[in-house]
Amino acid sequence: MSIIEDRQKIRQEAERAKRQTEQRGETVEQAPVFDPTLQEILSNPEESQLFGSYLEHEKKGDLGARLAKNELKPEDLEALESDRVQFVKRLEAAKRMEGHFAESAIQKLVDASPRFRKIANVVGVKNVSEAFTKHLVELSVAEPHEFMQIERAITRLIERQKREERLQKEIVEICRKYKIPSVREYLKAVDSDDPEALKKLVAKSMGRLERFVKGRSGELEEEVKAANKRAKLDSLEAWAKDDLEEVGRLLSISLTNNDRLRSTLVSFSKKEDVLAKSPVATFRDVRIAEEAWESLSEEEVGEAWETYKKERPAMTDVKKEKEGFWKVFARRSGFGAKSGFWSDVATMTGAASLAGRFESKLN
Amino acid sequence: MTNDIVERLQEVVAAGDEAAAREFVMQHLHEFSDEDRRAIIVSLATEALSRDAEEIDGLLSLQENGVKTVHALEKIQEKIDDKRRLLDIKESI
Repeated sequence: MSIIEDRQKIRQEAERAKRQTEQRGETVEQAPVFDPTLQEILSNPEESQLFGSYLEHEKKGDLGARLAKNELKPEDLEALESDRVQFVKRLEAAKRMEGHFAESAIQKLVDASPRFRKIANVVGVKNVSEAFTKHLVELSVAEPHEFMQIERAITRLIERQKREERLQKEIVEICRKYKIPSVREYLKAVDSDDPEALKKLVAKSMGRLERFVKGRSGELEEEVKAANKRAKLDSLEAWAKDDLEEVGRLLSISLTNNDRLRSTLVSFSKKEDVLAKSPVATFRDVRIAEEAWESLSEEEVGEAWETYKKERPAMTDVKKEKEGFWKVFARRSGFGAKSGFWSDVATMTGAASLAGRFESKLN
Repeated sequence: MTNDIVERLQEVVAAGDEAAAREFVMQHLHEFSDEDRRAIIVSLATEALSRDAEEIDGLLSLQENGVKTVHALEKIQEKIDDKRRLLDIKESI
């Protein structure tokens, strides 16, 4: 049972007891909320380890070390209370997110995210659900940036589904009303395996839309107002129809399931690359990390292990702690603050190789 | 088993082909330890969700602009029709 399930069970039991007390007409005591004291956190091995990870991430290893050795200074108490509050908030955030990764909820994400769908298809919805529910607490505490990235993406996807439903109906209606040819028909005109041809197809429609948004709308209206001959009105109508056909084509493309066409459209419409902006490790970073690991000396590793040991408020299973250390150390010394797929994958190989080289040297 | 897969992964990564390394991870996912497998799944899924969420924002704004444009063009068409009716009246007088 996870910490959160554990806490939820406690809370549910407390709420049931409260209801029973109310039914008996007795005085009701305040139902306990999820707000463990520092003592409670430290006496629970799992929570204690997570609190250690939290302090480590917050670069408060010294505080963790004093806490572990029971050598707290008077001024530490205030800092610890503020850290406890933050720590509990992160656990609560993980609990809020858990609902999104129940097997039934994953189906909604699968519908909203084509890339996520591919992963769920390969790995299996059950495994994705299990991976997230078991990993979320650790992420929320030790990798808050990565955790926030997931939270933000999911919020956006869910919000999108609501907006998309309304927009899709409208777009389908527009395509029907103005007899916009289907995407398949557009694709007949070009070689759909040729990225340049697709780019050209989308660029033309996109150009029309941008031009219209940037002011062509107002210009057209003025021209219609000033027109006093049928020929002029005919030409303006032809312009408007042409614009409508191009924009309709773009809208019809935006509903496509054709991956190539969709990614071409995205390359025009994408505002920013969230992964490029966040500290995500690339494949090239793996080489840099390997060089960093290669250059480590026995003294540096020994020193890091001593610090790691001091920072852990409770160290019950040394073998497990060592495994954890190699991963933390490999990540930190190889990737710094960078996270993501390549950082996770290479941390495994780095941890194994560092353990192979230095394990016997650790006390 | 787990050490073996990590060693093989190390070799694939060292070969320097990102696509091949990614494919290797996907194909051998079940051979990793539970903890490692979960971490891989979470980073892959996070990457996918984040990229899609980003793209979706762009697509939605494009769709909204497109629908607004169509409505604006419909209004222009109405004005053209009004103007034509006005010309008809003028010509008939």
